[in-house]
Amino acid sequence: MVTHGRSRGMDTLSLPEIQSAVAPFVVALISGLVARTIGRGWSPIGAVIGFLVAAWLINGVQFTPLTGTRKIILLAVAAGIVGVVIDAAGRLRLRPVILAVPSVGAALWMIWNVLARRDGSQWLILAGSASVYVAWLVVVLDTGRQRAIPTVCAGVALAIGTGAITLLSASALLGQLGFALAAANGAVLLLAVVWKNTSVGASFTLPVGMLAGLLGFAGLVFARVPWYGLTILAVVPLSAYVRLPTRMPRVVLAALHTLIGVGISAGAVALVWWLMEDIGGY
Amino acid sequence: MRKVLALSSLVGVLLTSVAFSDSYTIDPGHTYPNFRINHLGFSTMYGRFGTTAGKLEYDPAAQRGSVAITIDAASVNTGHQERDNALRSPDFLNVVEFPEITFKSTSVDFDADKPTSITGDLTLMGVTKPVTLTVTGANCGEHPLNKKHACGFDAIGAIKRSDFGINYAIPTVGDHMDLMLEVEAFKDE
Repeated sequence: MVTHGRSRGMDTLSLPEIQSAVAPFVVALISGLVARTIGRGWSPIGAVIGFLVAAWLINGVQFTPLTGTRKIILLAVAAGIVGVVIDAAGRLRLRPVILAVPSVGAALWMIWNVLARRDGSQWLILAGSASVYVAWLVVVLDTGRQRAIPTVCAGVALAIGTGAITLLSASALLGQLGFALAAANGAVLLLAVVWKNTSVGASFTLPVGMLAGLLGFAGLVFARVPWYGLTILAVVPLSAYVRLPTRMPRVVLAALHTLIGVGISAGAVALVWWLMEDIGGY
Repeated sequence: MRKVLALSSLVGVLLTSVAFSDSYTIDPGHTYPNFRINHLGFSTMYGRFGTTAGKLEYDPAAQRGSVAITIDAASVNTGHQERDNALRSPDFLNVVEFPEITFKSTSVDFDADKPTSITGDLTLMGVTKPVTLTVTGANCGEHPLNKKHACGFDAIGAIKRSDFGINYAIPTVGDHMDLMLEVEAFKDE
């Protein structure tokens, strides 16, 4: 909700619903449409562009001190670029490994300030769980990319769950960023529903999986997201693998896949709501 | 030889004057950094940090003093548990990444034997900025209960939290913060 450096006429941009819903959706939609003119596989890049604009509205462009949350924003840029490079490279052997390596690197860098104060088994548990969580989301999301609509729906549901669970766990900042990712993914989903031949690649699965993973794990380390919440959210990308009748209209397919994914996310959110004390803030 | 003697005398004088500065250890039970900040434009929210440690050096006769305080950032307390959780999160104090807040004085101004202001480096979220606190009261004497020699002071200053990189929810939650320091310390044996 940063407003300094802007005029009064831009106060609307400080509203959370504008920052985390309207702005990322509109920007992702427009940038997705523009990117589509390059090729049918490029429109999903709108997700990371929409997220970055929302992050600018929420956080500003301040990166000092370089906190874990600000690293996530920088990593969004890097993940978008790496995703585009991977897509441009075409078919790759060991694709899951190629995607997992930057995911693990991103997870470790995000929590490095904390890891530097841990040692032994504590270091291993924290580093290992962060790496596995982020890499899992990216690789599972990417493996289902051949089916664009279910993959994007899983991305939407994962981001909604991440936003809700971090918001409940005392970080409105992480919550806003999670919902912004969901809104940007929603625009990509709309494009995938409108155009049958939309394809999804690493320019979507890498940044979306990575951002959802980083935001969720940041909530666990820096706020109060419980481990069981993330464990349930880790199941959400598998919703893309649910086989529904292929002859149904794309909009129905999208609605059903989103419902399945959001249902799992809602389970995680409900469990956190039920088991956690001191929910809320401000 | 004369130069050596002169230098030795100078060092001796300096060491003697340093020795006159009494050293005090902060009483954490009576040392609290307090703060107030605008809340959503409706009211002023007050809070404090409950866990502190540190040292004072104080010699009012020589108009010399220093203070160094370390604050446990996670000890923030506004009397509302849910809000305190939010204050500890990455939205504001980010206490997991930056568990300590420190204030180390760089100069203390006096009017006669009374301190009037303390200028020092405040480190918050890993960012260090100079801050000047106005001393609103200071006194030393024998503690009425334990009979130890004690000193204490109150000081007030202001910061902009955005200067320390805490920029979330500005201006909904205020940028300007008042800091009010209440400090008591016992003379080291």
